[in-house]
Amino acid sequence: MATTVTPWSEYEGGTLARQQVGLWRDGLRRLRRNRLALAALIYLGLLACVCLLSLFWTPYNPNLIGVCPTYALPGTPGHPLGCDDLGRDLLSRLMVGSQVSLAVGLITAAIVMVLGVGIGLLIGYLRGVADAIFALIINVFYGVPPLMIAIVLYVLLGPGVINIIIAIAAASWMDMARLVRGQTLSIREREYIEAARAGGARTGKILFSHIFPNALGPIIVQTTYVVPAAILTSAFFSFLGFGVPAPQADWGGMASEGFSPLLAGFDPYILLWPAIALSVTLLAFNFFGDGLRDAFDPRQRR
Amino acid sequence: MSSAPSTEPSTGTRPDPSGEPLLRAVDVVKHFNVGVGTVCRAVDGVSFEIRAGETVGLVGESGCGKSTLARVLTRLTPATSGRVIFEGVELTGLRGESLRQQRKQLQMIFQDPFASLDPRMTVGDIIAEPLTNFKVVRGKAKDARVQELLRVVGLNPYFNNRYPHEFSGGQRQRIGIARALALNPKLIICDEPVSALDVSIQAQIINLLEDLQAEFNLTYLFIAHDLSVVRHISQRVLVMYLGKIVEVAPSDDLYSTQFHPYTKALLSAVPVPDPRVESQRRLVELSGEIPSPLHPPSGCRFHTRCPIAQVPGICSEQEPPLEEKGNGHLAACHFSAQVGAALG
Amino acid sequence: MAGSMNEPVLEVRELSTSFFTDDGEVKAVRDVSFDLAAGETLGIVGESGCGKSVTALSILGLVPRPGRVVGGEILFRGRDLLSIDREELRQIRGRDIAMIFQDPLSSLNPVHRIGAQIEEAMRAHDKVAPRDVRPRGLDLLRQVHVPDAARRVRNYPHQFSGGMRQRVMIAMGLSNRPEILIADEPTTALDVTVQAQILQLLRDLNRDLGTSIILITHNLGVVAGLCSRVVVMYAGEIVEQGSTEQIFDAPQHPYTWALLRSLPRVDADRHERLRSIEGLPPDLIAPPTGCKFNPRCPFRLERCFSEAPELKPVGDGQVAACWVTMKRAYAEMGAGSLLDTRAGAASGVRPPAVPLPLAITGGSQTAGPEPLERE
Repeated sequence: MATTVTPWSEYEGGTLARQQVGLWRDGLRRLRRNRLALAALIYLGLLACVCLLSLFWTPYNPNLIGVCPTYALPGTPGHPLGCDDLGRDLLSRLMVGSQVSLAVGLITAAIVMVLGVGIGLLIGYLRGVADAIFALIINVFYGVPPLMIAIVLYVLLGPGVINIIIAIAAASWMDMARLVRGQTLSIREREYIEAARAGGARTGKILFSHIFPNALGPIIVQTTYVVPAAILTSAFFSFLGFGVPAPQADWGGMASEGFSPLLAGFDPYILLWPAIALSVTLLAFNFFGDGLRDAFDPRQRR
Repeated sequence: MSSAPSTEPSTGTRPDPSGEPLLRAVDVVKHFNVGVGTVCRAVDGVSFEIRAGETVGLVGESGCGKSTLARVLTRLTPATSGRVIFEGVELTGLRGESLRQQRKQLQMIFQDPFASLDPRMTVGDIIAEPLTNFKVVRGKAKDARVQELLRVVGLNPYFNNRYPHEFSGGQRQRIGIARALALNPKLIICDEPVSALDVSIQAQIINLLEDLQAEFNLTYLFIAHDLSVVRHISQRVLVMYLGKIVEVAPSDDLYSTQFHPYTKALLSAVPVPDPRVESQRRLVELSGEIPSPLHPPSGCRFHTRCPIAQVPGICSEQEPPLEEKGNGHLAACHFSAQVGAALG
Repeated sequence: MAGSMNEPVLEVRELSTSFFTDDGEVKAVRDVSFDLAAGETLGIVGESGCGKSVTALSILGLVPRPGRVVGGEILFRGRDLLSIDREELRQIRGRDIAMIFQDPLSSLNPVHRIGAQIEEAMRAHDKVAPRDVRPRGLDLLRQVHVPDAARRVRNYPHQFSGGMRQRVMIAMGLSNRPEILIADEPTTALDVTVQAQILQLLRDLNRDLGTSIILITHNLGVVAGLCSRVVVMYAGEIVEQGSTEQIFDAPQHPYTWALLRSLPRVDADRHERLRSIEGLPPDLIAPPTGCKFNPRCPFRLERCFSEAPELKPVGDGQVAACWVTMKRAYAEMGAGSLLDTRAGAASGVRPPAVPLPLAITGGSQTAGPEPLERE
C-alpha cells in the first residue's frame, strides 16, 4: 500500500538509541560487585548440593544408633564432626537436617508469595471495600502468634512438617500482602496502566501482565527474607518439640538434643554444629537478600 | 528500496470534515472531591463538537482542566454530569463490556513517552496488546500487523522484540502512536504528545501525525499547552480557562483576531523565534495568578485578571455564555468587541 | 536589550567536561569558548544532551559526580575559576555570579520562610551590611514584582505559585548585586503567560541593574525575545555563535538553519509542512567521527565524515563550525528550495561505510571508514 509517510531512515528508525542499560542487566552487574552477596550465594549453592546429595547418600545412616562411641569428639577417625549421645554420626545428621530446613524455608516462601501477591494485587487495585475488609483480616492475623497455631495444629493433626509450614505461612503472608498492596497502589497510577485501559484491557490482564511484572523486584527481595525467617522459626519449633518427629534429623531438633548433654557437662559439639549451620545459613540468606535489594535500587545507579 | 517522502508543503487543503459530528460533548462536568466539603471543579460545563477528519486543538495553561477533559472523553474517568456522544452512541451511559467495545474507535496518545509504555513488555507486545484485548487478529496475522504498524510510524519493523528503554523519547512516542493505531480507530485524542520531546524531534512527530491522518482518515483532538504547535496542526482551536471553554477560533485566524481577552493575552505571551517580531510585540499583562479550581471566581471566571473587566459589574456577576462573535469565532465574554481595540 | 562592546566580564576558553560513568566517558562538553560582555544577555541554546546546562554548572564548579571539568579556563575578573581554591569559589558563587534553576520548588527550603531564605543568601556573603539585610530583602521582593511583599515575605515556599517562586529565586540571585546571573531553563516549567512575565522581569533587571545574563534554554522564541547574542550548542560543542539577528536571519550552520525551519510558529499565516531534522542526537560516549552533525545533515560532504570543523568567522562577529556553511548550501546545493531534509539529501553524499541494519549505536559510523584524502 503506497504511503506518504517518511520511511525509516538509516538512523532514526533503522538504529536504536544507544542501548541504555536494562534494569535486570544493571542489577546483575551491581550484584556481581557485592562480594558478600556473592559469597552468600556460593554458600547457598553448596548447601543445596549437600541437601540434594543427602537424599541419596550420607557417610552413615543418620538414624542408626551406635555407629560410633557416644559423645565421640570431632576428629575421631571416620566421624569428622563427632557423634551424639546415642552414637549417631553428627555429620550425616547435619546433612539430612538441611533437608527439613530448606524444605520448610522454600515451601513457606512459595506459599507466602502466592497468597501475599494474590491478595495484595487485588486489594491494591480494587481498593474500597475489599481493602477495608482485608485490612481487618491482616490485623487479626498479626495478633495471633505462630507458636500458638503450631501447637494447636500439633494437637489436632499430630506431629509433622506440614504444621510448621502452615503456622509460619499464616504469620508471614501479611507483610508480603502489604508490600504488594503498596506497590500496586503506586504502579496503578502510572501512565502505561492508563494506556492499557484505554486499549481495552480487562482488570485481570492489567493485574497480571502489567502490575505484577513491574512489582517483581521488591517481591523477590521480600521472598528471600521470608526464607531465613521460616527456617529460624521452624528450628525454634523443633527445639521446643513441636517440629518434625524423631528420628528425622533436623537442625532445631539436634540443637534440642544437644542441650541436656551440655548442661550435664559434656562437650558442646552436639549443639554447636546445628547452631553454626543455622546461623551461617540465615546470614547467607540475609546477605543475599540485602545484595539483591541494593542491586535493584534505582537510586544507587551511578 | 523506499519511496521518496512526500515533502510538498500542504497548501491548506486538509481532509474535508463531513457535516456529521464524530464526537459531541454536551455540558461535560467533572468535579473531584478533595477533603470535606471542598470540590475541585476541574471541568465545569464544556460543550463542543468534533467533525470527522478534522483536527481540533485544545489549549490552556495548567489547571484549566484539559487533561481531565481528555480522560473524561475516553471514559478513563467517569464524568460527574453531562453527555459525551461518539458516533451517535452515548458513551456516558455505557459501562462494562459495551464501554470497552467502544474503545476500538476512540484511542489515546499519552504525554510522557517514558511512562506510557510498560517497561517490562517488549515493544511488539505493547503494540499488539489492543489487538489481543479484542481478539482482532491472532498468531502470524498479529505479528504481521505489528510489523506493519512499526513501519508505518517510521520504525524498523525488526525492533518488535526490543524493550522500551532501548529507544529514545521520540521513538517511544512513535511506539505509542503505533499502539493507538492498532485498532484502526476513528478518533485519537492526543494528550500533549510532543511536549516532552526535544524541539527537533517534535517536528518529526508532528509531521508523522499529519501524514497518518491523511493516510488513515483519522480525526484528532490535539491537546497541548504550546500554542505554536496547536496552531500549526489544528483547523480549529478551543481555548480553556479554569474548567471552561472561553474561545473557539479557526486556527488560521487565531493570531490576527481574538474575541476573548485571555486568548489575546495568551497569544501575546507565546514566544516567536524571530527577533524582529519579538521586539515589536507588546505583552498583555494579566494581574494576579490563576485562581484555584477549588474556588473559582464568581461570574466570569477570568474577571480577577482581566484587563478590561468591569468589576464590580456584569463581569463579576454574570457568567458570559459561549456565543458566536463573527469570523467563525465563539467566545464567552461580555465585551468581545473591545478585545481587539482595548488591548492594542 | 543591552549589549555594548565592553571588556568581557567572563571569558570561557576551551572548556571541557566529562562524566565518568559505568558505561564509559560521556564527553558532555568539548572545547567550548565564548565571552560575556558587561551588561549583555547571552543565550545558550540547544536540545537536551547538548551540554548547555553542564557548561553553566562547570562555570560555578557545581558539576555533580561522576562528572568533572577536564580542561580549559574560565576567566572571571582575570582569575581562572577552575584553579582557585574552593573557599574563593564559594565566595564568588552567589555573590558575584549567581545561578537560578528550572525548578524553584526544589531550590527553596520548604521549612524556612521566604524572607529568611533571601536574608540568608545575603548573610552568606559580606557585600550587604547586616542592618541593611532585612530592608533590602523586602526591597528585592518588590523589585521582582511580588505583590503585597511586606506580608508575603513571611510566607513559606509552598504558599507561592510556580511563577512567584521563580521571582523569589531571581530576588535571591540578585540580592548581592552579582555581575553575572546564570539562568538555567528558568521558565521551562512555567505556564506561557507566567513565562512571559518572568522574561520581561529579566529584561528589565538587565536594563536597570546592568547585570549580565546567561540564559540557557531550548526555546528559540525565548532567546529571540531576550538575548542579544546567541551560542548554539550541539553534542557538547558550540556549532555557531553570533548576534541574535545574525543567527535568526542568516544562520550559517545547517543545524541552526534546520532547527529554525522545524519550528511551528503561532504567527504563521498558513499551514506549511515543518522541515524536520531526521535522526537522533549522537551518543556522547562514542560520537561520530568528523563533524558530529553529519548523520543528520542534508549538506554533508565527504570531508565532514573525517575532519571535525572548527569555528570560523562567517560574518561580522558570527562564527560557525561547518565545512559547507549555508552560504554555499544556498549557492550550490539549492538549500532555498529544499524539500527533502534527509541526511545527505542535498549534497548526495552517503556515509563511507554501510551501517549495519541492526546496529545498536545510533548516529555513529559502524565499521570505520577508510581515511579519505585530505583536501
